Amino acid sequence: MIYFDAAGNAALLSGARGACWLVDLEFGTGPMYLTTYSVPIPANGHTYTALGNLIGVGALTESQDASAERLSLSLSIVNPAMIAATLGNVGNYRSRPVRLWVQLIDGNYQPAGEPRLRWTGYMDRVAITRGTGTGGNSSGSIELQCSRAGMARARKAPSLRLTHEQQQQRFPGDTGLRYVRGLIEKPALWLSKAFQRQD
Amino acid sequence: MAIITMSAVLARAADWSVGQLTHSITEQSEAGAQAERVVGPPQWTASIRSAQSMTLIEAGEWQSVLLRLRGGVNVLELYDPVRLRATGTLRGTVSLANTAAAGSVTTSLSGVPVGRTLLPGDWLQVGSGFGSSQLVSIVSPTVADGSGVMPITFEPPLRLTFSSGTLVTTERCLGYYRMQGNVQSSYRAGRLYKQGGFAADFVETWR
Repeated sequence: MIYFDAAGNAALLSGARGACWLVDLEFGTGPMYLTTYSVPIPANGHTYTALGNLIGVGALTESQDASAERLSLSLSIVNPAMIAATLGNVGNYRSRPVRLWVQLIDGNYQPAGEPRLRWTGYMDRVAITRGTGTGGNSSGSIELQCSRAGMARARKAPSLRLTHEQQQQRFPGDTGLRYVRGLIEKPALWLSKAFQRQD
Repeated sequence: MAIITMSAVLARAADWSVGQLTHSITEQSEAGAQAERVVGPPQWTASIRSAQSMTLIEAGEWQSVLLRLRGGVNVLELYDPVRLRATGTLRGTVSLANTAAAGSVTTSLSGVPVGRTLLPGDWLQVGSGFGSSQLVSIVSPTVADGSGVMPITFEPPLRLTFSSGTLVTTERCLGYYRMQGNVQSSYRAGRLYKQGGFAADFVETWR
């Protein structure tokens, strides 16, 4: 469930409202803050550069249990700063954080309320897509593919910790796991080999 | 990207039109609920048409301005040649009486001679320079009070925050536009005025 503050709720309840993405890209050469809106947006202590439709965010789905595993950001191929950040050293972007925030817009075309974090992950692979058009026109974009944070833990069920505290969060009052920590941290000797050899 | 200043020849265009391009999508449910999804702030638009027949010298001036725009690469500094100054009595340059926040449609001007007026449709240019100014249109008649302060109401809402004391221009108010489409004209061989028919459409830009 996503919650907005009072200003955000007021915008949602009004007859005119919009939304845009705020994207944090933590490149090794320095962070980039971009927005899909057409006017720069000050938020989270930064000013997000307005790229408008020069930046595209892939379809993002959410459910009660999890967010989208993968996300594709398409960035304009004519942006030299973006080209420099993504076509240089792989270490500049591989496994570096990316965050997506949703920012509501009110009827005065201004940000309404605080942005809400919707997706966190890591930059993974970069692909350059080029389209050939007629009459000498062509287009291209940088596809920055990102993976959701926590995917390794989510895939490996045994690596998820079963603790009394987590059980209490999910099922308050269920004390079935209250001895787990003790059993792990203080192993007890049941029957030694020597004892079993006794007559 | 370069800023191309408006040429006097454009001010003599045979046909001018000004409009506003809004960016919103109407969403409607089957039950009748309706809301407007705002996609971005509105942009001023302008369309200019030259005479069909001009001297080659004047046509050359048209061609020079339009070619230097390089399509949408460069930006044209444009003022409304019809509404050069307010239809009210306010003239010259004044300043903001207080900080005007982004998103606001009202503010006050200071340094206004007592009794001067602005009428709906009058242009104001708040601030100066490309990307640091905004062209707005007055929507309510107003008059300066005895202390030289004039409250104003305008559209569209401010995209930026302008601090107190920011200069506000009331004559030849500039907007910044990118040209849409290509440049072409027509020749009339054998005529005294041989070239004309320039047509260009512009959309406001701030980046």
